Amino acid sequence: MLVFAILAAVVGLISCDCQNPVGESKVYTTTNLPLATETAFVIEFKSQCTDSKLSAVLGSEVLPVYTTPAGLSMISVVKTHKDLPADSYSVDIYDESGIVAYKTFLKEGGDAPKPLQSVAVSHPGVSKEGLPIQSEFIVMVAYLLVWWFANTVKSKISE
Amino acid sequence: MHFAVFVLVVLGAASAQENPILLASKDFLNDVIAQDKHLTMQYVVHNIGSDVANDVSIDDSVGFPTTDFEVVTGSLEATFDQIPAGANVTHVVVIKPLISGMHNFIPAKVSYKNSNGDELVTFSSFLDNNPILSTTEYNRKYSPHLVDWLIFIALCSPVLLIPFLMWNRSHSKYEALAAKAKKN
Repeated sequence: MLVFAILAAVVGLISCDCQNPVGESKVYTTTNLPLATETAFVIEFKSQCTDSKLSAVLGSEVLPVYTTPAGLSMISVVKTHKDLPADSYSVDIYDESGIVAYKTFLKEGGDAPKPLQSVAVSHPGVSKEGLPIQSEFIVMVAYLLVWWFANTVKSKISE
Repeated sequence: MHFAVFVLVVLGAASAQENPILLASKDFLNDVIAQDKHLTMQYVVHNIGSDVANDVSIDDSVGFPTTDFEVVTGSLEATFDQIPAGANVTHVVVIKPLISGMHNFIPAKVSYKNSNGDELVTFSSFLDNNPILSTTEYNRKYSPHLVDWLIFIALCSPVLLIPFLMWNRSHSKYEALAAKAKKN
């Protein structure tokens, strides 16, 4: 009985699916408008599932999870600013069987398979550095106000 | 002789078609490249062959030496397990130039293996020499110049304020005199 229990445990360990593949993660999103023609999301994390081949899903797009020499796993996506507006996004991580089930769900419908884990991406959107209005415009408006005031006073004196 | 050459070409073409063929593009997502500002590099690798490409490795560390560029996020080297035939993958790295001036954006090296385990190498597209603006040049073109405008307003103010204050003082004096005369 004990031998059977040990064998079951070993088999379980060998065939167990990794439940939480994403360890410590770092997320980068494009925020500076003049410095980027498109929005990029870059997610780096330490994978807890070294034996599983992982894939990611953002929206309904399947993205590969790839590795770097530093031993980190990465997900990259690039889209136009319009397609990735300021919002909170969820990047779902699937293992091999999960992504096959997801692709089947995309083709045939039904219930979406539950991801192993989801990474939250909070994207504040892209914007210009500094003030929302150009400083030259503010100075021009101020100059026109000063000119209008001076002109009004001058007209009163001339009367 | 011609027939032998023809057979060789057909065999070559047939065997090439069974290999994965990768095309890699390298591009920057920036309108402007400036010193100490984020530069986003995008690499897209397409497999136009009819076989899966295994162990696809992108290496652009030679193009961005650590003395001149700092990696903000991502990595200049990346490895994809597989790129199926007809598919493409994207890799992004965000770096920061530490230098200014013209920089030669050389192609990245892409190495991969076919199903026989043979290692194949290709290079990404070439971006040629591109300028990296210095911090001073970038600020001259793109910063809001708030300090410059404040200095300009401070220098213009005496030219406007002094005559106005002089007029306002004498106007107030005569208004007061006129009001006094009316009372009397």
